[in-house]
Amino acid sequence: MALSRRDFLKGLLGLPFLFHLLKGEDKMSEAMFYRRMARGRVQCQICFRRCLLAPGERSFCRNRINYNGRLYSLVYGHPSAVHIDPIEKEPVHHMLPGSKILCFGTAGCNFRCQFCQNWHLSQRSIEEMEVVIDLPPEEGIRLAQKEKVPTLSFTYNEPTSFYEYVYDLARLAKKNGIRVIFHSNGSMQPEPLRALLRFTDAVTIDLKSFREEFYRNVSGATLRPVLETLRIIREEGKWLEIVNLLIPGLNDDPDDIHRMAVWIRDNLGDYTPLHFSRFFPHYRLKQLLPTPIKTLERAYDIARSAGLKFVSIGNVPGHRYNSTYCPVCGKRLIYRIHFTVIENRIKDGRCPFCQTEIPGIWSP
Amino acid sequence: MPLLPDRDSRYLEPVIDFVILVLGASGIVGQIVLLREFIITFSGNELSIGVILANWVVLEAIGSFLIGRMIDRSRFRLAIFLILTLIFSVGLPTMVYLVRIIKSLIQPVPGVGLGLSSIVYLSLLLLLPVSLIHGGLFTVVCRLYADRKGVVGPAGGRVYFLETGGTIIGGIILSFLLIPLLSSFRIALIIAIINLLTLSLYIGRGRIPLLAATAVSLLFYISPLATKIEAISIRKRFFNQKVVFYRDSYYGNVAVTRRAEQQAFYVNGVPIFTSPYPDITFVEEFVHLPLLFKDRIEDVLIISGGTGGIISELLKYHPRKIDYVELDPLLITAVRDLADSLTERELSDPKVKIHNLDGRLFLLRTRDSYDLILIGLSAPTDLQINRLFTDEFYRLARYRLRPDGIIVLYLPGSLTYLSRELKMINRSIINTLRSVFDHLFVIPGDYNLIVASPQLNLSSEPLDPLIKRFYERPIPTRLLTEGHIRYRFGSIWQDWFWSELEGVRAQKNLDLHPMAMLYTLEYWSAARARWVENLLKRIESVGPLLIPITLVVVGIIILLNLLFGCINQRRGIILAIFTTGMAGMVFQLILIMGFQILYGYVYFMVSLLITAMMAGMAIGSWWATRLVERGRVRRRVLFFIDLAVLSYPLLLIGVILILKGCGSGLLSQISFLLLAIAAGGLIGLQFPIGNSLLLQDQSQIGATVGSLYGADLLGGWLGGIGGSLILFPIGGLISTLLIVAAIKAITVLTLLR
Repeated sequence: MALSRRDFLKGLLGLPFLFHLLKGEDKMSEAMFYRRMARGRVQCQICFRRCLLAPGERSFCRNRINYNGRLYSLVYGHPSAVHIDPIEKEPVHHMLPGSKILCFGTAGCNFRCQFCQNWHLSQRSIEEMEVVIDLPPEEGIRLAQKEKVPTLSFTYNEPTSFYEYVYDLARLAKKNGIRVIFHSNGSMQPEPLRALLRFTDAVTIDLKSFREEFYRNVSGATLRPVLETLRIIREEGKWLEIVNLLIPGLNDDPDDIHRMAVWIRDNLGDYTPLHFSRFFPHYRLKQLLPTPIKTLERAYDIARSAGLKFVSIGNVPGHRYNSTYCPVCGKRLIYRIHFTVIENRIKDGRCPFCQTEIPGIWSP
Repeated sequence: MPLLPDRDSRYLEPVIDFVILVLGASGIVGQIVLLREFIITFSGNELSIGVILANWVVLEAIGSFLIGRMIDRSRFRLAIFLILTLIFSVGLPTMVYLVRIIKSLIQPVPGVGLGLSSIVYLSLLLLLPVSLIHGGLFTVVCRLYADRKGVVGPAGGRVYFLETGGTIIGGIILSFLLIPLLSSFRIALIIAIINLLTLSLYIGRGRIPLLAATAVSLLFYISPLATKIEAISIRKRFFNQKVVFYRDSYYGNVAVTRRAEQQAFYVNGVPIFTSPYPDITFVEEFVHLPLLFKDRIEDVLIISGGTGGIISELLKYHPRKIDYVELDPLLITAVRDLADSLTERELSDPKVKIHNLDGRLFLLRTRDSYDLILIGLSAPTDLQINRLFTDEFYRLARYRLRPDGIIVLYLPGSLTYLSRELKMINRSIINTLRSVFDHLFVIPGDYNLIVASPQLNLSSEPLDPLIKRFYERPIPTRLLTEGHIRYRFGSIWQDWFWSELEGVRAQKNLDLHPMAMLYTLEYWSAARARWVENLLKRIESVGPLLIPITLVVVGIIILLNLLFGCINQRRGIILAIFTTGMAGMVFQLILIMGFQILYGYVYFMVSLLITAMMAGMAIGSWWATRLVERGRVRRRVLFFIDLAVLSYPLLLIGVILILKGCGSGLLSQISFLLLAIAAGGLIGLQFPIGNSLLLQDQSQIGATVGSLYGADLLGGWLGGIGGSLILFPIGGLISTLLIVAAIKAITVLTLLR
């Protein structure tokens, strides 16, 4: 097969790093979920883009390469960020409040959000990383045990773009009694998603907007697979929380918020927590104002009146709706300031005042 | 002569002089007005300003070159002049309008900062009808002047002199009269009206339609339609927001928008704070976390960014006084005019004293000492801001801090991953602070909070005293909890941050060597233009080799010229003008920077320096024109002028180094003005003399003036871009001036032969 000059050059660019990885064969990981095609091409099946790659080509997320007709992950065992954070930072409000999570992030992402907070990571390839940690899954688990962290989290950048590493870490974590969560843009294909959910306890999904146009223009992506992902997570019975970053003028239309809230209620259940987050200028979206508090409060009211029981407001420290309230008696159950849990009154998964069951994961 | 004015030549002589003055004034006004609008649209920094100015100059050079060639051959010179002036007059206000709305036309997502490539092509496109035409008008006017007065050699020089005079007048009127009173759109309309009026004075036949056009423009100016068009352009700039304040000051544009309950304050198109709900995390952490190191504070100094939450948090400590220094009084006016629950409290408190002054100048002048100095501006994106992040500034701050006082500033950071650019900015500033302060502490975060003190021990080990202090203070906050403090001061983050910075080799940030600005520009480019980021990194890596490389290149050029004589007389003169244009721009930059560094930023003095330099140019070109008229121009005159331009940087280095140790006396400040006049004088001398030497006969006036003016402008462009973005940050002041001297050596040796 004759390679085009472009393909040849692309291959050459990828090869040095690949060879670097090949020095230790155990560090090299063939990708999961891909199809081998004619003429040495492969098609990745991890996310909705389903990149069709000629030999030497890199995937849209920058993390997978077709090498000799096989697809390899370039970031397997090579995170660029590993930190211990409070679980509230994800945010996950209905799982082990006040606990710590061991977070992993690598280079790369399959979205191109103009407001990405972690653009130094997500909009780069591994070759451009200042830090690449050599951390095989077994070592990752040992680190969690050493630091006595009860939960692993795949966050910072999109876990879909380092799926194989996530999968192996999650599988090992389950074996070792460690819980697993991930924070995603929701663009995983159904098959890999269901496979990963077997080892997952909870998922936070960014539902960036309820408009296809927003996904296309602001994130370079599409809404449909995200809704599909949300449905699958609910079907698989995993704990699910949704984040909606409200950006003034771009995705804060009250009608859209209402439609979104109704869709969540009807398709995912009225107990699904929905977090409205305050936007601050980031990355390329620097000339836009932060979200007014009233906009967030209006979104809160819309979602509550649509029937959602657990709605919160984030990125506004000290706001009363940063805490969790009982949907029946209205009493404050978890007093939260930013990422700190001041008080957790939930007892055995119930409101101590009216005994209403509060869904979530409350015991380690 | 075809199509010449048919009126009395005695009457016309002052008119053509006036035409040239207006041309000069229109050029500078158009340039500044469009630059200011571009800065708002592109949220400009040194890099984008450099690109826009470069495009202006390149287009002017192309315009003068192309139209200069055309005008010599044309029979319809006056008609060309008429058409070009009309295009310029209509083009300027139209382009101001388009610059304001361009992002709404081309971008599907409002609020996205444009990449450098887009800035390059958009500014090129939008400047085209203004700067290209203005450059062309210069050569056309030269030709008309020669035709009118029957002179050949001195024509270019005289026009250069008058145009420079116009530039001075235009610059002064614009800066001190028009900008504080009128919007850019209105100023552009006034320029259009003046140009049309001047044209109708100059043109003989067809004056009536021009006067009618002037009258129509005047009517348009005062009509509600102009107000409506301007309002549309402003509204398009602030997507989905109600604009409640929009004004220009000397320093930039201040706008305030309203959406829901929130007011957003913009400076030059970038939101800087919102009220009554600020960025709570930032303001509370910036104030309260560093103050956990202090038992009490009495006297506080805030340099920039105080209003919009920070003063409000500081007042909770009941300090004796807060000196709040904010350069632009217009920002304070906007905050006062639109006061709400947050800002009203901040600015009306009797403890808060506002000083509309440059922060550095304030530190130089004040005799007070402080417990806390807060710098409310993040990393240096331009040379002006850089002056608050240098070794010299920190020494000044230390002098004004009490022994147990602290200085607090913030730099871009991340609690996820530190990219190379982030590491370099932080390492550079930390190195700089460490050379001045004995104690330093960093609270890593999405903004790294940097605390430094002359004597106060800053340590979070053990954390208990800090927690104790937190509980002892009855200070209500919305964010701070014991858990949050433990998280932010945690040893995990300390270990991670310092291990990330280990081995990072970044240079200290100095006044005369602003490396942190280069690192910050790399950071900015990383988000918007990767190719620029890579280019800047390569330039940065060249750093120490800058002077040796320049000397080798210059040596090779001189050797090749000696061996093969590739630079003939004509090329030698054009090259001399080109390199002098470049040197002139670098001198101007260094004089302004040097002045600001030594004496603080004073808008009036900076304007005075630029005016002094322009006046020097006018004097130089006037004197040179007289020499030309008396037939005293020889090649060696040009050689001696070139030699003087070569020597000037060496003189400048000496004077700045001497003045650096002399304090801020009046004599020192006058020395700067004299240096500016001298620099301008040398540059002004060379153009008419080079022009006269090159001119063989009258038929070549347009082409010769076009080539020389183009060379002068291109040299200026190279000096502006190369000087401010490359040479000065990576080489520092002395290297920059030495390199200019080395480059001038090429033309000096060429002219010697």
